[in-house]
Amino acid sequence: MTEVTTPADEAPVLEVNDLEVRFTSGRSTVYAVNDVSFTMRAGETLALVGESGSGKSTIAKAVVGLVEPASGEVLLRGEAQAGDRVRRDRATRGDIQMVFQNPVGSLNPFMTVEANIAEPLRNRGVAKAERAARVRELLTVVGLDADTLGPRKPGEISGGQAQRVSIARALASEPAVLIADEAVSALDVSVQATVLNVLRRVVDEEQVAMLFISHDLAVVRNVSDTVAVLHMGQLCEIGPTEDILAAPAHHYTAALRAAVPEPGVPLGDPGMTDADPPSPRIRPTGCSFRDRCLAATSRCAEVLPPLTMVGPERAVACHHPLDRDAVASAIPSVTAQGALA
Amino acid sequence: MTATAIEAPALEVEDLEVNFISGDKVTYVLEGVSLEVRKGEAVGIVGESGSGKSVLARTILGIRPRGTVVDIRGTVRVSGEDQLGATEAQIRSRAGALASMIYQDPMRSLNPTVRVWKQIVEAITNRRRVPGDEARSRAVELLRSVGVPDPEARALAYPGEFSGGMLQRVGIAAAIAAHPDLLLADEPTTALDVTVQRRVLDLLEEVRAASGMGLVLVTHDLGLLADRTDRTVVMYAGRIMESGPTSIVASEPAHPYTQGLLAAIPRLTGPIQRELPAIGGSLPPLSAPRAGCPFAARCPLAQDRCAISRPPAVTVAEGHTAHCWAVADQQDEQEAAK
Repeated sequence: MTEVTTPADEAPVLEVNDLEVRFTSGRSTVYAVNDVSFTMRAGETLALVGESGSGKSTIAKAVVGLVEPASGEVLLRGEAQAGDRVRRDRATRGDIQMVFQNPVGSLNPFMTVEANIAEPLRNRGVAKAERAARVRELLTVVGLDADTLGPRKPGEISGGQAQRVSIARALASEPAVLIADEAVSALDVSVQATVLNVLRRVVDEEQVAMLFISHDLAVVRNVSDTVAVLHMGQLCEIGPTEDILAAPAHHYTAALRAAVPEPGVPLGDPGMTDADPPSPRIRPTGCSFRDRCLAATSRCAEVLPPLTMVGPERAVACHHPLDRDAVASAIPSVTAQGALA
Repeated sequence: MTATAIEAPALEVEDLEVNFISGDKVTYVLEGVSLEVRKGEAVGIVGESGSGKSVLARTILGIRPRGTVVDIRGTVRVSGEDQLGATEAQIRSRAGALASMIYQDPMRSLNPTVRVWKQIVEAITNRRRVPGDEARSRAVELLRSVGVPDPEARALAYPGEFSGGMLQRVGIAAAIAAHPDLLLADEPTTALDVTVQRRVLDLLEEVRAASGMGLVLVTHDLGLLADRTDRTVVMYAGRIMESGPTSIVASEPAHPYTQGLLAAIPRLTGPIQRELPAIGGSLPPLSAPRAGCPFAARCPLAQDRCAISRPPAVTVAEGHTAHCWAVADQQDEQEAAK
């Protein structure tokens, strides 16, 4: 491919603007995603992190069209996408692909690995002769041997191999956006590393934009360029991953970071109260983290903190953001020997 | 911490072998596992899927899988009492008093249709008749001790009315109700958010310190054991690979498997790794007994004999052991150099 940079190339592949998602059953409404916006470019990875109930998977579903937003829009290459998948244009449907947590369950157990990967190719009208070659190519991209693994069924391969097959299958549609929803969470660490390496390579080589959803900050740090931290459907903080994890501006990011156990590193101060988050069934007012936050004031309950730029490419939604220099020096680091003090 | 000569350890496992037999298929789950946990001591058992860590915990408790013939050899003693020779009735009568377990998913280990207070004191009421009022106030007391707010009201609630973290506290209350000598926790925080995980682990530590029981924390997450357990036992394919003080195992592991595992963990500190060092290959089939070292096929230091001959237990330092031929050679070289 010739490298001609046109303004269109620099435009975001995916834009999510003011996204709101609600789930209503009977008289009860869950405010799952509240006014979330972000953009993604080709060859870049954006991670969505947060605890369960933070809305990260719901955002993914809204992006693919599995749930209809209450308001806001999803733009793919500048074009608005219909809220639900059925109405989406057949031509753009393969542009956003998803890889799920349970690799074996997301493949057809009765079809061989090759057939699983060939299916989206057939749906796109790729000729039979070309399909076989493309399947081999895709298996090579994810680091699997086409001769030994291709003829097997998903039940006959390991979890890590199955997850690489689902990545190959997702790539068969030549997506512009790849969504990995807790794609390595169910895997053993030794296998997880292989799958993460494959995902990184796919983003670099195929120039897809990856939306990486994870509860694991350490994984996110090693895989994403940008991180968006979510709490109860609200965007707390967004910006370059390394900057944010090195010096969080939002108290929730700091608390989340402090809770991650790491071999050889003592746990830091929890940095939050023991309170539970507010019910997602109440229309949110103010900051959703306020009851768990050590710095909260009455203003936090009354006024929703707007997302404010705090540095190049960094924004935080907090009335009392952390002094970032102070935080960076307080984060524990491994001692010279790597041993516990 | 030294146990007195008279007091039996909370747990003794000697040369434990467990095979599952169904039809003519045999699964060799545990091979020659030995382990000791003193009262008041916390030991972590870490391993990936297929390591046998959960089967080990269940075998210690006397839980056998249904529909499968289990062939068990070796010794398991809890507070000096034999667990393997005990009849099912004996095990049931001791359930919760000698040893008890906290499970990964409290929603599944508790009955959703029974008020939590009844389930919390089950280990007591199963054994002797306790007046209802007394049992309930004991449950309230236990709920208070595990940090459940408003315990009087919450005792009457059903499991579905609790959040995941709070429900795991209920699980802990139930597990410690009859003052067991040994508490086993099988991935107790895997289903929980990290922020909640921390509080639940803090609670387990408090409970252990207060009661003086032995604690076995079974997990896939080596990072989680730091600061939490005195010793760590690393398992792979049904065998113990390495055991030693947690801080040493997590920072200067001797076994190539532990080293690989540690390197593969993505870090929040230190340089960002664009390419994580993965361990190539996969677990050996458990359908055959492992000849030699089960990690040999994936091991960067493997020699010919590793595939054939079972590695010896090498003492790396006081209380730190690795089952590895390469480590044995290193020790020999060091001896020779002296």
